[in-house]
Amino acid sequence: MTRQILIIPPYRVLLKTALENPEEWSDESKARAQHHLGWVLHLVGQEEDFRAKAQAHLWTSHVDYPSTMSPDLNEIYDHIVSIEAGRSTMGHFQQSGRTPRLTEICHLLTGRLSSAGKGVLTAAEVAEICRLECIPDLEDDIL
Amino acid sequence: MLIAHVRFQDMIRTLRSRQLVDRVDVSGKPCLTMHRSLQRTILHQLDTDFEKFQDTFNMAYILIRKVFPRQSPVHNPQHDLWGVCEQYRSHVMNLRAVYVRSFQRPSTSMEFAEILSDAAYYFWERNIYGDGLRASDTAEEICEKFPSQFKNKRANVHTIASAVRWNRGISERRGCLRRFLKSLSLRHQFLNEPGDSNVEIEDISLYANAWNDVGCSLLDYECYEDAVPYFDLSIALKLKLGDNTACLESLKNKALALTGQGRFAEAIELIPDEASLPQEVTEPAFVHIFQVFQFTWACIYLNAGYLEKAHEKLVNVLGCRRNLYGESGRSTLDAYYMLAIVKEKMGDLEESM
Amino acid sequence: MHLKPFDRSDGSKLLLRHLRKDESLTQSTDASLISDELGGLPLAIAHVAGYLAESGASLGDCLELLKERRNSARIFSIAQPMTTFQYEKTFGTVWDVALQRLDQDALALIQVLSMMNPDGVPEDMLRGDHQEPELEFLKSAEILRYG
Repeated sequence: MTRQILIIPPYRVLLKTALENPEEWSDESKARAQHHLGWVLHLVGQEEDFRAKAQAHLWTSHVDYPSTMSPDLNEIYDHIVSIEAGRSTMGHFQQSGRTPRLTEICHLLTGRLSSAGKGVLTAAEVAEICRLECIPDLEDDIL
Repeated sequence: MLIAHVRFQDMIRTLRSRQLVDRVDVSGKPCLTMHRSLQRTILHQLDTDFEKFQDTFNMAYILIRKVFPRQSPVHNPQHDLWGVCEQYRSHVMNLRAVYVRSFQRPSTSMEFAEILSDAAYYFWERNIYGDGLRASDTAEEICEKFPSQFKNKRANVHTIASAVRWNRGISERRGCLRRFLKSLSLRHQFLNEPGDSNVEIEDISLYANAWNDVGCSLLDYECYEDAVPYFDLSIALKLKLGDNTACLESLKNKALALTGQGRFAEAIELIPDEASLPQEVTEPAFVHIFQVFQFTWACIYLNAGYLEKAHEKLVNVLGCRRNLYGESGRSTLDAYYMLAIVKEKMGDLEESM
Repeated sequence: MHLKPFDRSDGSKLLLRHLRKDESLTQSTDASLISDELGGLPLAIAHVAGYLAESGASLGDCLELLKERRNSARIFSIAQPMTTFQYEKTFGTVWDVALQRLDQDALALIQVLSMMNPDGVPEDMLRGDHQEPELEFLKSAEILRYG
């Protein structure tokens, strides 16, 4: 990887820099960054606390489980953004059982592959191991 | 006498003499330009003769297909093709616009969906999400016309359509998971079709990727415990094919899932020493992929409390992303944000005031 | 007659001037986008301005209409007179004479070009050793003959 010498500015400047180009960012990431910047500015008495408004809108528009699963706003904002955007509060908003049928199939196939031994197989052999008599329609397997 | 390109040059001469096209030089190549209003006028005329319109659409598709690169068969990075894709992407999108703006749409094949998906793949690699969504939306629409055919090709389309949405957040989360599930289902149906001789190594790789993708979607939902077996299956499939390098992606994601469960030591064990990685992973041609790995590892270190390591990796990532995607690229902004969080945890908050 | 297009800013100003509208941010943005759709061509902008004046449609509505060709065909074919447009025929006929005089090959070529990015189609993307029968007219093989 190319090594670069970057002069990294302080925390608040980093957030402000990111928020200067909001058009490229998703609403969720923008809201999270605004939350953090707002928190900092609120601490020093510079801006009103506007954190809750953005979060409430995104939550009620897109989610069918309650935000009260976590009382921490940082966790809620981290949950709103994609994991690809990075999270600093992982693990506090845990869920499970979202794709139950698929998880069963996953365990079944892993067991079969494990039983097939350690050697390399051909594509046809792997396909044979993964063959199922009945393939469920997985598209609606989301709880 | 020398006869070369005569017929073609005659056509150009005719069109230029009537002020219908201009010839300009773009990066040393002769190109033809025309007024958008003239374009629109000609399309209006073609709209009144559907057969002619269809023939012209087919010709334009063939010409564009000859030059626009296909996506990697196993969705490997294609950094080396960015230049060519950039040169011809506008023609793909223009043809797409002709298609969607038609009251009576031309008949299309799965191949048209493929070229749109190829363009979406490039847009996804480059963080160009607006065009990526447009291209993949139209590709998915076309897939609907072939409900029982082209399973692997349709799976590719849905996978890319999900990828360009994934970075968005909670507003697209359900749609992403639905698409990844659809893709996995199609790949599974393909593998279960009779005739083992049809199955190639690429098909198994894509099948393994599909399990990995669903696992990634579960990470989004914070179903960390559920996601681990999906990555394990993806790894197991690839190891069965003898492809160890391809497992790096799923190992990275598994490390993230372990982090989400608070299993920091196990997660950090899965972060490789960069010096031990194969050259093909770390060389400059693949920097746009490797920086994603770096970003994920930085997040793991951050959550595990190794702030200096997180900081070091994020500084590298930020530099890469500014080069790759510009100051305002979505991934660049994400890197800015995470670096800000690291600095906050390192106590840089006071300094900023 | 060689028709030179306006850039986005001038095209927007021309449209708003025809409509006697202020250059507020929303108006300017929509006017710029309409100008883009029309390629900045002053004749086309004037014609669309005339349509807007007659119909009372907003700039935003017009932008939506132009996105579907069926609608833009209707707008382009509307007969005169209109307050802003000095050309005696419909805008859609501006290029008719030139297009009608084209031979089959040249017409086919410009029809294909109409489906690509108008800001630049590399010639080497068009001509080549094509094997497809429908592209035979673009086949461009080098033949050396000494007579």
